[in-house]
Amino acid sequence: MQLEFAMEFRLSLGRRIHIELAEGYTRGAVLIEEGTFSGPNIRGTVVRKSGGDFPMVRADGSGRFESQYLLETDDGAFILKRSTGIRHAPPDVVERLLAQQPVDPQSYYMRMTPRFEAPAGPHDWLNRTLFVGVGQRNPAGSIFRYWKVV
Amino acid sequence: MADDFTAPSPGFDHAFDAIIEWQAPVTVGAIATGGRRIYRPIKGGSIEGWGFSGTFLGGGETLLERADGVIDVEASYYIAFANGAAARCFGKGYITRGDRFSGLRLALLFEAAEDGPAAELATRAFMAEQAQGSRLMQIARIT
Repeated sequence: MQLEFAMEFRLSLGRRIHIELAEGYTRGAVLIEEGTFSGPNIRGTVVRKSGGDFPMVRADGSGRFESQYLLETDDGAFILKRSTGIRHAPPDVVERLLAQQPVDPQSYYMRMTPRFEAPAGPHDWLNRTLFVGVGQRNPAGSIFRYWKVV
Repeated sequence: MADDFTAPSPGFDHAFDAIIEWQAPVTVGAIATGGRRIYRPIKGGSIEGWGFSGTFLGGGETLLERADGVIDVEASYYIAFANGAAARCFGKGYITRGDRFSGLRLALLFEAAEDGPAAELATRAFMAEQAQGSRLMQIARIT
């Protein structure tokens, strides 16, 4: 298996909600305000307020990510994007991440594997392709890069 | 692209070789939401690598044969390791036929006891590949 760069997402984030399910277990909701994406042969925007990331975060900061939102390509196709992922980091790094302080992206492990539902046509290769993603939180929002498994 | 992205690029590091033995599949048939549903229960099998040796105890793969010829796969495998740990390996993927690859690929995660010898498996993401016609599933850690 090899990886080929597929696309980059730039997202601005909106309201953050925390649901304390039990001691040490929090379901987060990070709603996406808007965003853009681009890669070879694909480009578009995130449909405003169409979803977000809903991570399960543990007291030690480790977490599982579950995101869902809609994309609209420049050629008029709507695509549903769902992603699951994992984060694992040393406690001091987690503390800074949760406080939204700058953190070296090399200092923690965060990977995700998005899936797409696209209409038949030029983007339907997304429906049969697995991806590996890496994310980075910036003050203005989040950046994700995805590589397709080939 | 702007150069303000400093996160590491991912890669693959081979972690496990697995061979799964299957019971007879259960065919549900064509379903109202589209496609044809099939379940493949595990009979047994082995997994080796990353310092672990284990056997498949149960679980299986839930398949959906889609109209476009791709098969959606939802995997949930239960594993007993020789060191006494148990784990669930689970994820989603596709069976495809193409010019560059034909077979099964799965994005996988592990669940294991946090205070047990397999806890590290639950801290990483994995990608599995099984070429069409091969019994060997190779599982790589996503670096």
